[in-house]
Amino acid sequence: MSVGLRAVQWNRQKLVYDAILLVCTTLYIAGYVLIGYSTQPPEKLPDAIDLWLRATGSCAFFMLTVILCIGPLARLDRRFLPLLYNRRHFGVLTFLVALVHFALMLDWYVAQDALPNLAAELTKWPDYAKFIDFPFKALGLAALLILFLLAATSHDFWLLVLTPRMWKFIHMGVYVAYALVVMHVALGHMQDERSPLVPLMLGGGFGIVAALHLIAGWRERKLDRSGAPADSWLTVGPPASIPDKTARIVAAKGGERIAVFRDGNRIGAVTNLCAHQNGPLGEGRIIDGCITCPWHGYQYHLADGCAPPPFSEKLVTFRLRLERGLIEVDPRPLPPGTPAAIVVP
Amino acid sequence: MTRTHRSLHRIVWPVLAVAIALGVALALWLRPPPEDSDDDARLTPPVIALEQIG
Repeated sequence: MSVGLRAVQWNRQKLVYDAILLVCTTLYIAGYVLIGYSTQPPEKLPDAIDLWLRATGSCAFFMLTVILCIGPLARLDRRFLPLLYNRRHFGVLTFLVALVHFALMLDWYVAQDALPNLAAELTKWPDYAKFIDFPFKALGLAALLILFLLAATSHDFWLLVLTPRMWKFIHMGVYVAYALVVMHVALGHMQDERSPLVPLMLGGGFGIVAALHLIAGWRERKLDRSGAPADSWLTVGPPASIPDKTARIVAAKGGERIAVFRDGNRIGAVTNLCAHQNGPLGEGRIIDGCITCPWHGYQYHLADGCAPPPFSEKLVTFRLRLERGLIEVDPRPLPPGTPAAIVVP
Repeated sequence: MTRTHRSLHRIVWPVLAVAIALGVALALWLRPPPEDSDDDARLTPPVIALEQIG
C-alpha cells in the first residue's frame, strides 16, 4: 500500500520474484548463446552478434508471452495469483531485454559499416505496401516504443496521475505490442529460417495467449450478463452461503460488480474494484480483519471500505439488509468510506 | 477490472487472434523458397506417373 511514493517498495516477495526473473532470463540467454557457439561457432563478428540478437529476441518474445498469460491464468485459477503480484517488474525487464536486442541490431549494422542501410531499409516507403517484404524492423521498433511507454509509466506515481481506469487502458497497449512482435518475427526471422521451430514458437505462443484470454473472457461474460435490474435489491443468499473471510460477487444488470464479504457474523459490501489498479477485491480474503486485494495486497476495513491508517484509499460501499434469512444488497453505491456493514445473528 | 475493461477485452481478443493467425499463416504460406535449394528442381513441374493419367 502507498502512503508516499518511493522508487520501489521492496519486500521479500518482490526480491524473490525479481531474483527468479533475473536468473531465468540470464540462464535462457546464456544457454541459447552457449548452444549456438557449440553447434555452429560464429566465424565473423556479425555472426556472433546475430546469435546474441536471436537469443535476446526470442527471450523477449517468451517473456512477453508469459506476461500476457499471467492475467487470464490468475482469473482462471487462484494458484497463479503470486505471478501477478510483481508483473510490472517482469514488464520492465522485458523492455530492457528488447532494448538490448535493439542495441545489438544497431551493432550488427555498425560492425559491417552499414548503418545507412538500416535507414534506407526503414525509409523505403514502397515496401510498406507489400506484405512479405514489409520492413519488419519497423514493426519491432513500434513494439519497442510501446514497451518503453508502458515501462516508463509503470510506477504508482503514474497510476495516481492517470487514474487506474486510464492507466489500465494505456497498458492494454501491451496487446498491440505483442501483435507487432509476432508479425515482426513472422515477416523477419521466419522468412529466412527454415526450421519449423520458429513457426511453432510463434503459433504456440500466440495460440496459448489468445486461447487463455478467450476462455477467461467467455467465463466472465456469464456473470456480466446475469443480474437483477439496477434499481432493485439484489439477493446474495443466506449469510452462511458466504464462506467466512471471503466474498460472494453479485452485480446488477449493466452495473459494476459488488463484493459481499463475511467476517464471522459481520457482513459488508464494497465495490469489487480495488482503488489501486481495479483488482478484483471479491477474489481476495479478509486478512487481519481487512479486505485484502489478491493482486497487490491493498487493504480496506470491512465496516466502511476505508484503508487502515496511515493510508487514505476509500472504497464505495453498499447498503445491506437481512430479509427472510437472506442477505440483500442495494446496488446503488454509497459515497466512498460510508459505514454500511451489518451484524447478522 | 471494470465492466468496460472486460467488454473491451472480449472485443479485442477475438479480433486480434483472427488477425494475427491470418498474418502468421500468410507469412508462412508466402515465404520465398530457401536460397540453398536446387532451383532447377523447383522450376521443374512434378512428373505425373502414367498410371495416374490413364
